[in-house]
Formats: sequence, structure tokens, C-alpha cells
Amino acid sequence: MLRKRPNHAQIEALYRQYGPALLLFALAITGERSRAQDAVHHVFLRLLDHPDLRQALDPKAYLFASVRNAALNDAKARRREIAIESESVWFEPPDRDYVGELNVRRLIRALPGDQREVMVLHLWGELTFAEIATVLDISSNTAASRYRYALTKLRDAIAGKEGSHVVSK
Amino acid sequence: MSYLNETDEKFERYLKQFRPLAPEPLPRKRQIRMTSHRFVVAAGVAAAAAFLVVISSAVYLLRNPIHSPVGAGPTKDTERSIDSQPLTIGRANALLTRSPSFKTAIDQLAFRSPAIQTPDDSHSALAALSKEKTKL
Repeated sequence: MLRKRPNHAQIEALYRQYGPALLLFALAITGERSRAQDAVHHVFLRLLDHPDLRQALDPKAYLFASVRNAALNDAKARRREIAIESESVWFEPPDRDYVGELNVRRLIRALPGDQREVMVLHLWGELTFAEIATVLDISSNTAASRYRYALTKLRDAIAGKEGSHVVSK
Repeated sequence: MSYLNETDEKFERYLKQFRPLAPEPLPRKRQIRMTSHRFVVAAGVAAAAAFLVVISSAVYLLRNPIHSPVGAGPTKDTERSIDSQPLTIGRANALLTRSPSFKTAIDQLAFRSPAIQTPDDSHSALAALSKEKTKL
């Protein structure tokens, strides 16, 4: 927990540190880059207006939970609109492996929403299962089991697409 | 991570090589907000000033009522007072300034009652001119 109200420089440091994972998490919820970007901006602009993280036991988990709320609220507001399949890039691929990036992205999108969220939070957000439990309001065991399911599905899918050389890298 | 086997851990490392893209920089909303805040303050001050002007004008008008507003044209009372008095240069000027148009003023001058008696201490402009004509 932060003892003092964070100043703008500290908030911008949080944005630089967690921004990419938060954006990916929002992308995993909304599926659209502009909406994900809006959700992340919404949280940080609100934080700049009212810089108070003292109530949050874990500022990192608080940020992910806030982005999730913003993305879900936006999704509720746009429920009647036609969903557009976004093909925007989610990752910076290693060694310009754009095909790999496309595969990973599509497979993550194909996961069930609850598993996808846990996957992104744990793997790229680097949240513990206890923190994920706080963000998603589930138990730690549920978070861990969802992660295992998701990982297995992804691994099998990628192995099926590209062969076993992927996991042996 | 004891809950994962070696294959899972390798696969995790593979996935982590894909780094999420950085978001766009935060928009400078505070600057926009500051500008709009200043505009709101200025608009508020202007509105308050306009309100004070209206109130003070209303108070002034209540204390000093205007009986014949400019451009409203001559009322029946003023017409009667002008009509009942002899035409002098000063009154003609006054009639011209009070009349809504030049034509109206001329009409009023033209259709004045001929039975107006000029006081002894003043002379009608028309009478003076007519006397001059007679002399010629």
C-alpha cells in the first residue's frame, strides 16, 4: 500500500511499467485495440485527476482491476453494436516472428474469456494467483486451475500447428 | 513453479518472448482541462459583470424614469403640447428630433392649426416670414 498520494511522475512511471501488460489485458477483454487503449487511458487519467492509491492494498492488482472494470463497462455500453474482429497486433514478436505472433494472438483470443484473463494476468501481468484472485474476485485455486487449462490448450494448439519444435526453443 | 512440469515451463518461456506492445502516451488532458477551466472562470466573471450592469441600469431607470424615450415618436400629449404652441425655430427643431421620420415632422408642421395664438413675448416663425413677404 502507498503511504502518500502518488505524484504525477510516479503515476507516469506506473504507466510505463504496467502499461503494456494492462493494454494486453484490456485487449484480451475487448478484442479491439482502440477500446483497450481507451480503457487504460481512462484509468490513468482518472488517477491523474485523483491521485490516490492509498486505499489499494496492492496498487498493481488495483490497476488491473480498474482496467478490467473500465473495459467491461465499455463493453456493456456497446453491447448493441456489431462486434468487429480486430486484427491489430498484440505483441512485439521475437526475431520478427510475425506468424508466431499471429498464431499466439489468435489462440489466446480463442480461449474462453475467464481462462484468457488469467493467462494474461499471470504470464504477462506477472500477477500471483493470490493477486489474480483479488482482481477477478475468485479463489486462488480457481485462478491456478484456469491458468493450467489455458496453458495446456495453447501448448497443444501451437504444437499442433507448428510441431514440437516450438516448445523446444 | 511446482504446479507446472518442465514442458509447461518451457512453453511459458516461449510465450513470454512475445512482449506486449506499449500503449500510446497518455493524452495531456490536464492542459486541456486547465484551459477550459480558465475559460469557464472568464465566462463566469463576464456573466456576473453583465448581471451587475443590468441590475444597476434597472435601478437607475426606476429612480429616473424616462417619459419620452428616444425614437419612440411623439405621444399624443407631446403632439398636443406642440400643436397648441406657436411654431418657433426651437420647437421645429424639437419636433424634428422627436418625430420618427422627417416626413412625419413635416406633416405635423404642415397641418398645424392656424388658430394658434402666439404669446406677446414670442413670434411665430411662419408669421414673421409671411410679414416679410407682405413687405416685398
